[in-house]
Amino acid sequence: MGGRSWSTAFAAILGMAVLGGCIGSISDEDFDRKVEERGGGLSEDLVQEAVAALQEEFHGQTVEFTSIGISPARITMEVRVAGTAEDLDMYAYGSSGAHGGVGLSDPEPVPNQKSLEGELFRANQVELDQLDEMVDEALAEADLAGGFAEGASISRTGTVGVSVNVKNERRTVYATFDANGTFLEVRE
Amino acid sequence: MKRIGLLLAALFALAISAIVVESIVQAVYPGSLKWTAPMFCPEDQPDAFVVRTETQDAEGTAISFSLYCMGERGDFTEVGTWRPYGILFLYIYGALVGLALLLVIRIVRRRAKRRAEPVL
Repeated sequence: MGGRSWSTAFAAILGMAVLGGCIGSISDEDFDRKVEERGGGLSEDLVQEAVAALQEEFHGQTVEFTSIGISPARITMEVRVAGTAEDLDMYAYGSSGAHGGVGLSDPEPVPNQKSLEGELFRANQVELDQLDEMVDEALAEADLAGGFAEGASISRTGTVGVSVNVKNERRTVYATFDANGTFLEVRE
Repeated sequence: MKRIGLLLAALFALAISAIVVESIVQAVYPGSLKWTAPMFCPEDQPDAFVVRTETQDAEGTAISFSLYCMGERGDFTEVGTWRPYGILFLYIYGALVGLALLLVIRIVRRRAKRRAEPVL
């Protein structure tokens, strides 16, 4: 190859780098859309991993939750601080640094002054391995065009229940389930 | 001793070349991070995406690339940038060392052949 063709090749590479620069990649907005197209990205596996990680952090002591929040690649858990009546800590667990962090976070104190009576539950009171089915059922029951499961939460008001919010570009509805994963109703 | 020094110098030069080649490959085709997905993506999240994030700051726009693995429900795990870069480096380094070995073998053979030919 002569000097001229070398410089042509180099210019071609440089040109491709400047013009291309993103071949084979997608923008973060397109990635989010991809997640939505596939149903929203909520995962019962991640919830179970998060709860297991927290149980390990508590060295086998009973963990009492007031809520478990489920988002794509991120789980948040509000937990009663061991040995206290109403102090709460928030832990997060995730599978993406760009979406809040990888693994279990350090606890963050949650401001709380009310009694936790009737709000606490343990992880084994909910069928965590039914969450994917609940999300699928929520999508079917909500029946929103282009709808996806944006998030879900587990909490206890009277009894332990799961709420899945299904969203499309116009509105959001909430599908609720009991702790066994039995569908209850869709609320606006 | 001298030979070992030469060998180490050659391996070092190839490592530098691998970094240069990797930078060019990255600049032209950021999607190349996907080639490392089989090493990082769990079985239930087999679909690899290279996600481009643009961040604005006082010095202008910075673009970063990160490898993600996605499952059929849209559930995903971020592998990040540096581990795929490391594996890509090993791929390229391996290829360059292989090429260099082929070249050396060819030169040695040619020399041996020349020596074997009778001088007229």
